[in-house]
Amino acid sequence: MADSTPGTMVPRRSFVEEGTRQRYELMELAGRLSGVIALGRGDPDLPTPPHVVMAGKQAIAEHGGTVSPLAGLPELRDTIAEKLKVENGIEVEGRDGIVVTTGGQEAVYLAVQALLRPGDEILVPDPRYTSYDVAIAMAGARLALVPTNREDGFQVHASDLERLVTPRTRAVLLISPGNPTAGVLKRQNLEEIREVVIKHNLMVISDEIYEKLLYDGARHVSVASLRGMAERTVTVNGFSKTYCMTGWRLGYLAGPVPVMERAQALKRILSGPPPVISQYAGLAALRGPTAFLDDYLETYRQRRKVVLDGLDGLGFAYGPPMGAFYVFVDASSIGRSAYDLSRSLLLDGKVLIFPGTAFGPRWTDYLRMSWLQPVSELEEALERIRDVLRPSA
Amino acid sequence: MSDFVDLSGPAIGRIVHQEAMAAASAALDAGATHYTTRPGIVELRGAIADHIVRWAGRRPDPLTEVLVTCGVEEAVFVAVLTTVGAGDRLLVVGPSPTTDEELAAAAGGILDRLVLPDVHDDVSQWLCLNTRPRVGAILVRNPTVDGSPVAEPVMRCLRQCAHDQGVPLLEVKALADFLPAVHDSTESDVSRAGAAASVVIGDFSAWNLEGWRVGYVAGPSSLIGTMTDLMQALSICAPALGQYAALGALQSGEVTLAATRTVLAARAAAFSTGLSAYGQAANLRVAGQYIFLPVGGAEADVIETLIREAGVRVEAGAPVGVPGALRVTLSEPEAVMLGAATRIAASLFPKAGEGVDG
Repeated sequence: MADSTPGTMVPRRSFVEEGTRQRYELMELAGRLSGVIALGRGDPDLPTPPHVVMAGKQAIAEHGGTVSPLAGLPELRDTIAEKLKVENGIEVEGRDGIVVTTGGQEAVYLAVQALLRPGDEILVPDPRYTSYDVAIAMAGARLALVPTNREDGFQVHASDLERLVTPRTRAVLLISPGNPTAGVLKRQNLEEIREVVIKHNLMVISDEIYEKLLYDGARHVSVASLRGMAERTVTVNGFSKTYCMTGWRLGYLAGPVPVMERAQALKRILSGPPPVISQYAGLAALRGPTAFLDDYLETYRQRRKVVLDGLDGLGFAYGPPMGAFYVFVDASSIGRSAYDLSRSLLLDGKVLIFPGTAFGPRWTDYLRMSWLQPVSELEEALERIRDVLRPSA
Repeated sequence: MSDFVDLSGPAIGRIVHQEAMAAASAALDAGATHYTTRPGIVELRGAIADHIVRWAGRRPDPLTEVLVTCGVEEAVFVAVLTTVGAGDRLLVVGPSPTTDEELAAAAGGILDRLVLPDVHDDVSQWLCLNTRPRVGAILVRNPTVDGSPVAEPVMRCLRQCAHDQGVPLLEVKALADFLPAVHDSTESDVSRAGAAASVVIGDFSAWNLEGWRVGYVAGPSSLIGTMTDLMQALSICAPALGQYAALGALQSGEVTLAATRTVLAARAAAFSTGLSAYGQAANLRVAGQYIFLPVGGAEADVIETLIREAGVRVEAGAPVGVPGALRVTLSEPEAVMLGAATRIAASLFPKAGEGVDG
């Protein structure tokens, strides 16, 4: 505990990567200011649905003194397997094909560690949620970035994957709907990606945590549902975004049994079994009514329209946000670096928006903005942004 | 068998701390369903800082020196991965789980096990002789996995060694709360070790909150900051409700823990009574919510036999660091523990039983 001699205890490695550092620096700065409208972190402001909360309360009363099996409650694993089959067209070997995790982030970490070995390469679309980077580095693997662009809604193209594949390439990581782009990968693109994956004998980690948050007729396609892909795909999902359950820390990964067994072995030393109360709540989420989601999506649609109208008014370009609750905005017309602009919007306008560089160093002209605030707050935020930008516009 | 008894799980069983449950329930009513800050809610970090003064020798700064984790496993994981680099040794002192091999490997390090010295040994010589080059961290579970407290001279020696070598001493106190509160590390002890970096790791299993997945690690701010960065790629933060339950547990004070200790002691005594007729009671070792029964080997076969013949399920001790023993969870009321012990003994030691009875 004694920390009295500066420099005595030096960590043997660093887990800081620039994107995450920027996000947390801005969040901490925002925390020191008053009156900030936070359009940064992907933590839904809407409540966990009442029937899920009720199940949580019941679980506290009935299961507060119990511990889950390492891979999760059998009934939850069964329900997830059934959900994947019915909703996503994914066949796994029942509960053996499911590992419940302490949040979706842990599911990504476990999937990466289970699939990659030192020296392997994994193809990851750019921009990306940069916490992936640490997981990949901890596996001793290398990240190879797949370019995407605003003009086509941040689609991932098979031709780019083909160009980047090397003898060391082991896997592809996909996230659809995307973070930070909110792009939704089209079936045709995924079918072409499938061909590359099979041709080069690759695996896919498919992060589908935003699968139900879709707009303007966008359709979600699960990679593992494509022909020949179930045995090549680890599907990652969780309850945080759809069910507004970020604090419950509940996610899962699904895929071939040998991969799930490797993930479980690591989970034993990483964090032990997932939280038991959260699992009963998650069970209620999957088995319970879904009408709340229609309401939540309608709320998000209204907010999305306010945000996009506001951005249009400011003259910003953006890739059409077809899913999630973000928009990735091209702010190059302002002529300032994204990070400077984010700081200025925070300090001068009391609006927290993440810079594009929080999702990869190339994105110096971009901002990621969420709509996880009531319409009135979003309108106020847009007004403040307008005020901040006025002198330089 | 209709009265089958499962004594294999990690939960204490049939003990629920109402203060913790009420705190979690109130938090849920208040909408605590969002991410907390990555290091954990400030109130809990403060309560942890207060709680571990007894072991740390001083109160750590809750804001910079305490990190709330998803159970003791994540606490150990982030501590080891932060302090053990590629090719470094993770020096594990005393009996330890077999998974420590994987833990060291996950850090790219090498596991180096160090047997605790006999009480009559010259402790300083023991440590000098066994200290290896390139030690990233020293990991000690105190009490050990079989419930034995590590002798204070040994702990002083470890602190001094950590200080001299400039490596952190990771002290896992997960079983300590099952024992009556003692200030087993004083301010002067830590001062004597100078700036040696004591890192304290614990959880809330003594409040039967293991299923809620909340643990903690407290240590130098330079290490805690890096561990927090690593958690971003793992769980991001501990479950919110679990954190409030843990806060409720700590705020309930020593009384609730004392009640748990009383219940566990009674269950252990009942189990011991069931074995005493067979001359086996003296071999038992109690560790937290567990009791270890030496069987000499072939634990897997013994466990199968007990399921089949005695209608009792237990775990092998070897994976958790107690080879040659069965791990029995003190999860049932006294009468059930007594009956289970009697059936276990009748199955494993029938001749001994006949001899006593005759």
